[in-house]
Amino acid sequence: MSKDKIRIVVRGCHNQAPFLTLAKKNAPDLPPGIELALLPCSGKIESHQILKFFEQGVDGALIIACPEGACRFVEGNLRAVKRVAYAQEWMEELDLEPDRVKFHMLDSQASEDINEIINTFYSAMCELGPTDLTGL
Amino acid sequence: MIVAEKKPLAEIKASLGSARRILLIGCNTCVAECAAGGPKETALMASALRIAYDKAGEKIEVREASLDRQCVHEFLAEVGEEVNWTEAVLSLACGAGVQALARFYPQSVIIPALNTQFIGTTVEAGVWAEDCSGCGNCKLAYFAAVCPLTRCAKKLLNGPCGGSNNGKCEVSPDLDCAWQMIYDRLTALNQLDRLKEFVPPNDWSTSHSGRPRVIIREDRRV
Repeated sequence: MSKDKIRIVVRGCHNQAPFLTLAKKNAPDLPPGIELALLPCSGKIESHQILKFFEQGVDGALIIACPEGACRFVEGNLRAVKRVAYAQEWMEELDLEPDRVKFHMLDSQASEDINEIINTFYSAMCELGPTDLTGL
Repeated sequence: MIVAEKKPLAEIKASLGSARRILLIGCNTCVAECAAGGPKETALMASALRIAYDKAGEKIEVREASLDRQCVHEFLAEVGEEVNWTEAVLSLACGAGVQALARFYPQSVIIPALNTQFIGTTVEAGVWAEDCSGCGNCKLAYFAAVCPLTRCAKKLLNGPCGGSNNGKCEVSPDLDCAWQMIYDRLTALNQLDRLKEFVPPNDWSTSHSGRPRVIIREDRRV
């Protein structure tokens, strides 16, 4: 079974105010097929959860973290970036494009636009196309 | 702890052959500590297998379980029903755990998912190092609890060799010289005199090079 729509998941730290606000509003301005969820800290994300997204038919996963030095749990974001990298190693082994997972430290001080970051990633996934996984 | 690493997925797939009902069994002890076969790694491997077969257009059923100790028979009975359902069990335990499963379930196909590496310690988060060769004849008392048989590249019992440089082994600049560590610890313990003792050659008959070892304790037998 092939998919006609791109699905992406966005997981982000709830200490990131712009992402928290967006997730609570359930992202009305974003295209359909984007699922947002809050994490208590980006360091809560695990490599096996990232792989699970793809197993379930997701085409891209974006992890939003706090900037370096700003993690409320000190090193959660540093752990997250390594777990994302490890998941990407597995994806390479599985012949899935590692770019389908992106880690982004959101610099809210520099007023980065969270909608734009998500939209850019979504567009990149649309360009990459759906995975050939059925997600069954 | 026993330290292990995952095998390449292609090797695991090849070992699984035509099996399409697969049970993954992790172990919550050593291989969980070294992040090779605990519940998280079992979940990761399960997802990876589902993705790999999905990509190949093949249907498989994968179930997951994790035992507290795969090398102890009492725990193995917990997965009896699942093992009966499966066509192949993929064990994420050390070699002992894999063989314990095979002994307990003689009719089942048991496949290893890991390469068992060594007896070691967690030096820091994400770093595991070999510390013990399991020679069966521990001499750590001589060496301020630093094993030269394992940690000295030349396995010198009466060292040092003279090839160390700034505390690093001449074999590799990223390898600490075991004899430097022994010297430093004996100095700290004010036991440098121990270096004057002659340590006799190791009796390797107690090691694995003799034969597979068995320990029998009558007081522990039922």
